[in-house]
Amino acid sequence: MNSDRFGIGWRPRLAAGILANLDRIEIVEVIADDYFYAARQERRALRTLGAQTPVTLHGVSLGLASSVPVDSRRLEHMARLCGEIEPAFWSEHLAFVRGGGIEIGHLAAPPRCEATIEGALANLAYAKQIVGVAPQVENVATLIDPPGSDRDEAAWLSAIVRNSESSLLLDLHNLHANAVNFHFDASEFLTRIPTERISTIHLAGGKWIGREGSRRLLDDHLHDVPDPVYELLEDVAFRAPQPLTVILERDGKFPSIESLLDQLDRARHAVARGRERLLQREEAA
Amino acid sequence: MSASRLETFLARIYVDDVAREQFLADPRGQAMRAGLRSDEIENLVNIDREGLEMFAHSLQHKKAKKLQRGIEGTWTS
Amino acid sequence: MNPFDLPGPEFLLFYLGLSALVIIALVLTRRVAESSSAPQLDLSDPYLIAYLRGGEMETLRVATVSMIDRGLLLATGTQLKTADHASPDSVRKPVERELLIRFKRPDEAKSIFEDSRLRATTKPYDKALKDAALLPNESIVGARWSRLLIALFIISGVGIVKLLVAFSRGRTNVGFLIILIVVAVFFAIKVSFPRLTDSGKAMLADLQELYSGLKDRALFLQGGGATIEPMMLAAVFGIAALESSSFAFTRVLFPRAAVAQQSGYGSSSCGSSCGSSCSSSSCGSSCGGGCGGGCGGCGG
Repeated sequence: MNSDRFGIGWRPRLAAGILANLDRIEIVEVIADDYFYAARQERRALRTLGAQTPVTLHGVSLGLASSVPVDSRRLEHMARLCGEIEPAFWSEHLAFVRGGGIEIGHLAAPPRCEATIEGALANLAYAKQIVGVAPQVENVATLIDPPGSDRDEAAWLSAIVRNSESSLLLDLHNLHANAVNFHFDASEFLTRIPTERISTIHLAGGKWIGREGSRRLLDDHLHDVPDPVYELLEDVAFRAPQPLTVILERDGKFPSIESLLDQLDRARHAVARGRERLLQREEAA
Repeated sequence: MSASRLETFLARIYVDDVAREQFLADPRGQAMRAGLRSDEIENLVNIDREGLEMFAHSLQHKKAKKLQRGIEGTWTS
Repeated sequence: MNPFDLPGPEFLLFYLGLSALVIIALVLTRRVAESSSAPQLDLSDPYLIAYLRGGEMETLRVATVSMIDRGLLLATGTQLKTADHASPDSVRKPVERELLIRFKRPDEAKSIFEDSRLRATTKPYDKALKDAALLPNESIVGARWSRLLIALFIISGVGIVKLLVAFSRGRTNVGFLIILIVVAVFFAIKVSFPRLTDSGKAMLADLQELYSGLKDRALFLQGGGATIEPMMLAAVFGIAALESSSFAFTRVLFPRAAVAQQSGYGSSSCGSSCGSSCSSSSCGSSCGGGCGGGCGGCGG
């Protein structure tokens, strides 16, 4: 792939709109876990989807960023699915999702410490061994400042990405939400992570929750992408000259497909502006 | 390994209302009983309580929604 | 042991087994020959999908319903008329242009099936699907005939030889054998020429799977042409799938199609947006995501 591409998360509710607009959608991201136990017919349908447009597989339940070894059964499911579907790439979150047999039920930011860095690196290496190719790894949003942390998110994330074979799936709304909730500068964050390792970008929206005076931004994927996220996207496109895959995530409260495609177009313009700035800087140098 | 004990402890207070209440009432005691390291215990004593409540609440909300989708699936299938 | 020396009843059993094997082999070899990986299709065109599912008639039906939904055709009972504001130049698809021309004067909706000009507008869909080997093209039809002729040679050859042997031995009680020969030939021909290739059948099933979420929301789909969803639903599952009251007119215009259980329709792959995969424990342990719900953030 030698150019940026723009796509959307596959959701059954959006199927008709997505399939009718593949001239404006260049890639589709499928939640892998939906298909781990799916019937043969469903997996074959996914292959057919892959024949219409490039597909990526996005996992949500491996819990790779943990000091606990990842469950090999789940990895084998992912491996089998990747073998059948042959996605453009697969990805997972740098999160922990279970502990001591207790399922958290969602992605939790792990303690940002040496143990989870080492655990993540071991899990990523094992994942590559089982699946055959390393996953892209995604930063997660968190409502709680992860307990047990001895470093900040930029340092923790960088340590994992720099020491693994995984490239980074940078979720800009997760970054924006964390920055807003924990009072750091998202643009400055971009200067501290290995932007040359960014392959994919997620865009999403959220909403404010909590009591007046202590509200936090929730990354709920139920709202349109806010302006600050497009600004961050332009910034990333300026800092990361390599081709980017930009994926819009929407999990519910679906607007029209036209509205989603407009958001994708807005992302295209943001990336174009960032590329333009980069070109101008290179010409000036 | 202490790191995995910490993750187990966190998972429990995230999803278990009773465990979370007990922790918030006595964070040091609960953390010590879980066999955590002293630095982990100190960290937990100063936990982001607001964030903890918000995260726990959001997990309950998600669980309820999943249950609802499961019930709706049963009804319509 | 020469099977032609078998006594009557034993030979009939032998012939029954042989015919069954030949017909099964005919089906299996056809499936293997006509299976291939899914091609790329223009899934923005509901009429292409309608043609895959039901041919000319289905395409014309879906196109008619679409144009009524968009206010380009007006339905009064079973009669259709082009809306005053609708001009053939305002639509791009040949089938739609021809429909607008056809109904400049009011006429019965069912007349669309007898209009050769209208039917001719669906030919490009036929070609596209044959090029994609989802419908049998010339090469596929040729291969089908070859397989059938071999099968018929075996089935009828063995039967006819036995008849000749029987006659040469003065036996004339060959009625059952003749019936078996005819039945075997009939079934051999019947299984040789399905409308869709195996790839076509698989593609249709896959589209119905991919659009299953749309079928689940059928009752809530509103008319008016604002989105492509109702027509995609009709194309993939048949106009019987248009359950919302906005499309009550379909039951007047095309009563049989509007209630028929079209191919694939009625077989529910999933009762809700959660998907059949999510009735398993995977959803209980997947994190916020799965079940078509994505990996959305914390609650909301």
